[in-house]
Amino acid sequence: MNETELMISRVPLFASLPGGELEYLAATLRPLEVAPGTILFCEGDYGDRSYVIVAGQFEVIEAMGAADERLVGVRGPGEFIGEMSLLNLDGRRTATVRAASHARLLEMTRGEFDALLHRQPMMAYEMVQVLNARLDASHHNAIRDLEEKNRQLMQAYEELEAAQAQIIEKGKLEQELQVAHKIQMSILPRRLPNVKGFDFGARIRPMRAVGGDFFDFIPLDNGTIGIAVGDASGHGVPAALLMALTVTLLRAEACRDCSPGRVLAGVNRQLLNLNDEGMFVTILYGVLNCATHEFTYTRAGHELPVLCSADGQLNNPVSGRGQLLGLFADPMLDEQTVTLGPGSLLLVYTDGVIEARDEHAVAFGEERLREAVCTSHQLPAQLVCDRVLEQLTTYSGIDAQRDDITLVCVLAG
Amino acid sequence: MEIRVSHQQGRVPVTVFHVKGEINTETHEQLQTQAEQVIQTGTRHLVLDLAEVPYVSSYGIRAISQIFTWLRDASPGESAETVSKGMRDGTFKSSHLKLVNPSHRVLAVLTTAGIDMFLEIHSDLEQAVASF
Repeated sequence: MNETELMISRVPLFASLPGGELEYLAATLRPLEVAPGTILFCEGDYGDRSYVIVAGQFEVIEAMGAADERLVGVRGPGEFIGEMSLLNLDGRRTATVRAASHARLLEMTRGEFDALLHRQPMMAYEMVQVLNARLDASHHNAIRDLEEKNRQLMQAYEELEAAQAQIIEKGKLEQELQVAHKIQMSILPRRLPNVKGFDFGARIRPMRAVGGDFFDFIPLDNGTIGIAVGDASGHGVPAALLMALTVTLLRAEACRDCSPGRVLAGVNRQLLNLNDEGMFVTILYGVLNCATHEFTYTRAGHELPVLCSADGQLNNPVSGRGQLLGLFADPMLDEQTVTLGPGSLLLVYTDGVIEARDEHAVAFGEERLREAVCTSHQLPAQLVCDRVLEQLTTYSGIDAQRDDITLVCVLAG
Repeated sequence: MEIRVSHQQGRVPVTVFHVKGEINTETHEQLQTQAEQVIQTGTRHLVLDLAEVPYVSSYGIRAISQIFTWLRDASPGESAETVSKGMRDGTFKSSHLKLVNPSHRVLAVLTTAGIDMFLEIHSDLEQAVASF
């Protein structure tokens, strides 16, 4: 028995063939050598030959290159491949076969295959057994495949459900925030004061849907108006709740007392009782006497206002003493008075104005604000606020707002 | 924000937080947490070195105020009434928390918020440590 006959006799399918048949096959079958990665044939191709693997490994792949590509089997020495197209009526390959390693094969044409079965009918029976086993394996693979696909589908469905729930939740939250925004805006004055000899303006732009900034105009007795600009610490809903609380307290205290210092001391007492979170509020609250044009204010940890006279000159208000509200039982608070002469302008603002940053993180700053006020002091008060806000937006970009922004302008006639 | 902690001996042992970076919305909790930890482990005299702090936001003001309150609460001998009266009269300064080396911009924020009314602000670390 030569080397090829020996090799053929080790193939299980041919093991029971008589010696003469082995000799014949050894003389007629053509040996092939293939490099790793070689595609022996492709799924769907017409096939007119099958192969017996002598050495090496071959991968049997369905739907190669497609999204659902799958490895349906690996064939090794002693197994045959490509026989399905010889048995199929249409002669098409049912899978792609690729060499997984360096491999050696024996090639058999359709004619040789048919002749062999004709000479050795018992081999057909053995072949059916092998094919049956492969069919079983393929069946199990198909079921596993289906189960895996089903699992992936279920997972995708659950993820979709979760995502949908999140979208609904987010939608609800956004709706609630919109309602909160409306409520917060409704807390602020709906109309500017209409007082002979004065022109008022105001703008507020929260960083989020709701914020901690506020302003207020409170009509008081004897031709006076309470004017407040404040900033509850933090952002978003917690700041908005503290802001609403502070505005309510301020209105109540302002109606009981004409002294801004005592009003803010009263607000502070109430805030300390009601706020356990260590949050605080800065406020500039003042009382404008419309007859004398005097504005007496208390600055509780808040920025000083900008005061500009009719000729565009800046007058620096006295800083005085003024601690934050909501932190200490007896904050130091004093009162300062400025007189708003004819044509002079007072701008009260929150720190979001001067802390707006450009793309290089440079703050807008007090200097730019003063300049902006001085160059627009002859405009109506509302336009002064609009102009400053416009300049801020140009400076830092509308999407780059880092804090709530509030501006209140009083122009003396 | 980074916080490097050092310990110095003046008349009393002093913990120094050398803070680097903004104290803002994102970072204030780190400052509070680290301060809370050292107070729990015995620190009663703390200096915040602000030399490398470019900006303190309102959250930073809140954190500094909170640390002041914790240190005050941890130190018997200063009754709330005494502190309140001292604050009202402008005579009170914390004997447990000091600030040092704030930039011009940070100093402006601290004074606007009235922090300088109850905390000493020094321009020299040695001087701040010696002042306890």
